Amino acid sequence: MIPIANPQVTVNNEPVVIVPNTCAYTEGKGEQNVRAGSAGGGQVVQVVTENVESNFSMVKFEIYPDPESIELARSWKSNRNQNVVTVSGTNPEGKSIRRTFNQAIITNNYEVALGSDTTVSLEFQSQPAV
Amino acid sequence: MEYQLKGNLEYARKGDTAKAMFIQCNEFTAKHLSHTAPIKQMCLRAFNDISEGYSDEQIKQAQESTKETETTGSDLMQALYMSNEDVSKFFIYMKELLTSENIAFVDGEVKLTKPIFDNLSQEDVEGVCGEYVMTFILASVLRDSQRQN
Repeated sequence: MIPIANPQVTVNNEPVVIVPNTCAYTEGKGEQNVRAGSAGGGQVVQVVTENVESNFSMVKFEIYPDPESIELARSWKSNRNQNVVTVSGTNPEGKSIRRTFNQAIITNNYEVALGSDTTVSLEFQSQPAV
Repeated sequence: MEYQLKGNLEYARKGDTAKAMFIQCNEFTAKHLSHTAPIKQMCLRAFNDISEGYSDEQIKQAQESTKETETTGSDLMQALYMSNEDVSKFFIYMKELLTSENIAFVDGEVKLTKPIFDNLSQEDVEGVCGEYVMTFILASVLRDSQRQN
């Protein structure tokens, strides 16, 4: 079992150069609660609820502050939720995953720190990953 | 040139994933010669390779019988696979060419990028590459040979 450590990220069909080990996402399946329901005689049943308020995916990664990447990030921010992000990767055993995040919008007011060892952190929120 | 896709291809369009129907291709310019010249060379060598081993008479007969029918992109791909050319290099050059600026557009509006190209089925890669070569890269050679015939 070998984890995927070097995923490919694309935004709007274009590959993005990201800072290694900074890509993360949520599946967008939301939070689920389990509560106990009393069935009498000492029996309890599970009462499962789903909080659909959290049924959005988050995908985040960091980029380097080179002019091209800064301009790209700016255009994605201007697109509001008209972005599509994909994350795909294959491990050395050849097993792969691919997730597509439709209607992705950059939610954070990202900081562009200009320096030799700085990065720009971008966080998108989107429809649940498919 | 418009190539109708046979396999499934999804791409990002205006914030959603769309299913692609066709790829529209524009003619290359001199800017792309570093890709088109080796492609043309490979294709002509491939045609030459498969004609070797046949007598002039046999070639003439074959030309006579195929006078009415055009050589298609799929004929070209078949010739390439049967020749001594390195077909993987052909696809590398074609990928670079088709994903460069102002050459290919998915559904006529979204630029064909490398990630989209990587998701094409093998049949579609061969189809679009073959048709592109026959329509634009070998066009002048085909015109000349038709005139001679």
